[in-house]
Amino acid sequence: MSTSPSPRGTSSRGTRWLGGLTLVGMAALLLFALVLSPADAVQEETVRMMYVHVPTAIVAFTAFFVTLAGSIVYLWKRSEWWDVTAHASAELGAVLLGATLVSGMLWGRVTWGVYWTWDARLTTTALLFVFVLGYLAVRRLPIERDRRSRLAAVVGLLLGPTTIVCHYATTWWRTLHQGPTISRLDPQIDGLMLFTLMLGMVVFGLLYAWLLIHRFRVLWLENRIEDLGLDLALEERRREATDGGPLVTTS
Amino acid sequence: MSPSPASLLALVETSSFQWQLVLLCWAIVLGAIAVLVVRSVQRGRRLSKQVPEEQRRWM
Repeated sequence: MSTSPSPRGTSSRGTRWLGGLTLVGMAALLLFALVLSPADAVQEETVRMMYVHVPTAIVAFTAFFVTLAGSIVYLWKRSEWWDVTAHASAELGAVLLGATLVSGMLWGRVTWGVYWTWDARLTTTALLFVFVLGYLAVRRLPIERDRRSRLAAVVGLLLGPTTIVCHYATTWWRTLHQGPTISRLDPQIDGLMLFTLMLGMVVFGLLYAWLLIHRFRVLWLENRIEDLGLDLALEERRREATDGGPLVTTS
Repeated sequence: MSPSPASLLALVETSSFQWQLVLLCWAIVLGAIAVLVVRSVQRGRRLSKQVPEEQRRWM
């Protein structure tokens, strides 16, 4: 992937390829999910929500593990690169988890008859969503960047265990939400449905990678602008000191 | 025995309701992602004009 900065924004040759591949993949996913894959014997047409609900959930969980890794490395090495990666991944995880919650609620309405129930999987997912919103709120605190990054990294550490509890909620507790279907050695799902689901995971994985790079670059630019603003303020103060201070008028 | 018109109508209504939910689900998810993509690209373009090239370091 090209690492040279683009004068027109955050894109590079690599991201343009990745973005194109993601678009083609998304078109193929829509074709398989809404047209080619069969309706389910029990859930009928509503099974088509699975091809968006499951991939967004899995990619959101992956995003939180990237944030966890970034937080750990930041606390250990104070690396800005990992700090920005953790932040960018948490933003994407929040959007994808929000999408998971909305698609799950719509799916729940037709399969369970309710949009929401305080089942272990749903409750832990809502908790995870609140945690990541908290993480993003810490990122907006108007304090020194190092302190803000340190605080965010500590909150980021909570995302890992919460994600694990959320993932295993259907195994550890009796839940209305169905248990693991595809992580078993003999997945209980039709061939074309399984293919569409796997395609969904690949496509949403590509989308995550593409957006992660763009969000990383946007956040990196924001940091540089913050530094430039600080440099300008310092320069102003120095100039004031050497010129005998600012002109103060009193009445 | 052929199905009655009432049961056929109920089947069509159920199927139509299911499709509405499926399409709403996909539209909300893809719409949210599209908004994020557009805002990120636009913000990246705006910010990159303010930062000198030597200070940009890409992933």
